[in-house]
Amino acid sequence: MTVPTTIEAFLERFERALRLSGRRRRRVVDEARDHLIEARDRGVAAGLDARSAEIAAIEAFGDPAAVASRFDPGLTERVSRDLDRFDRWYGAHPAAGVTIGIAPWVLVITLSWSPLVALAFLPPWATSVWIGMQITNRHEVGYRSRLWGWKQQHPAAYQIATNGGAVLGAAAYLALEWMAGSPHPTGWLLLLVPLLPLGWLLNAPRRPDSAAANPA
Amino acid sequence: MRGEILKGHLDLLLLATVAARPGHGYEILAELRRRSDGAFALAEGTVYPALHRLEAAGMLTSRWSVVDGRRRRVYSLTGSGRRSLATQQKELDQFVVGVRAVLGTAS
Repeated sequence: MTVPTTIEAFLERFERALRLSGRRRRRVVDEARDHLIEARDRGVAAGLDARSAEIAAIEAFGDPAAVASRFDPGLTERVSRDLDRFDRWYGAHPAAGVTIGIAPWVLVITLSWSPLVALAFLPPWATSVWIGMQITNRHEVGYRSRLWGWKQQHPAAYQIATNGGAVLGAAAYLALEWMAGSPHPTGWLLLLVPLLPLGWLLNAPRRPDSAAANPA
Repeated sequence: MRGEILKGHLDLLLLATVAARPGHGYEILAELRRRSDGAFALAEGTVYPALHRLEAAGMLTSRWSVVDGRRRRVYSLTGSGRRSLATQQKELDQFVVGVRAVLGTAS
């Protein structure tokens, strides 16, 4: 493939190679254009003729396909960004979203059991609303990656933060059920107990292989 | 300097450069070149994916601004970027000390 020799030809090829959408693609191309024009103008100011300055600017920028490929975030990050977008939408209506999700359960328990037991849903509801509000207030992209990084740095705190809500909810549920004097057995809840350490294990950050870390 | 070495430290170098003074891509690159005395030779275009990545990670923030009569995307450091820069600097210092010790060139 021939090397583009004009800024516009370069940008056309660069844009074609970019695997980005809409506004972000336009921003990247605009930045590249600004850069190339500035590089060309500086070349001219340094004594090059306009044509040579343009070619030098293009060559210094790098191969358009190679540079464009570096903007491709890869599948994991793309999925993460998509989830971020969903989270931001979800976070825009945290109370409504969580309430709609939990309301049927609260209604069923209230009607068939006790309104007091239904209060057990309050801690997870409040936790979810709080998380939603945090996301709404931040308006940040990539918080998921940072949360993942934080998990690696502070595994114990991560476990407490992610499992704490569920443990708190279960504890509140049992306490309220006991207070309500429910005739229903709570034994089925014990089925969930093995899930906690299982979740803990699955959530645990990968540890370095001891054999590889300590070769004999 | 070999590309792989530079690539491994590009985020740190960019954060340090932007921390010194916010600027657009070309300015950041020129400042990086000036401060390194030309030691870091990299394809100029590769700076932009790195800047975008750092922005997506919340370490940089950017906005369109008019510089010398042209509309430019100007990058500046966030609080998270400042903290990350400090952490990365510390890690690099420890790494350099370790490598020097292994090579027997510790001062």
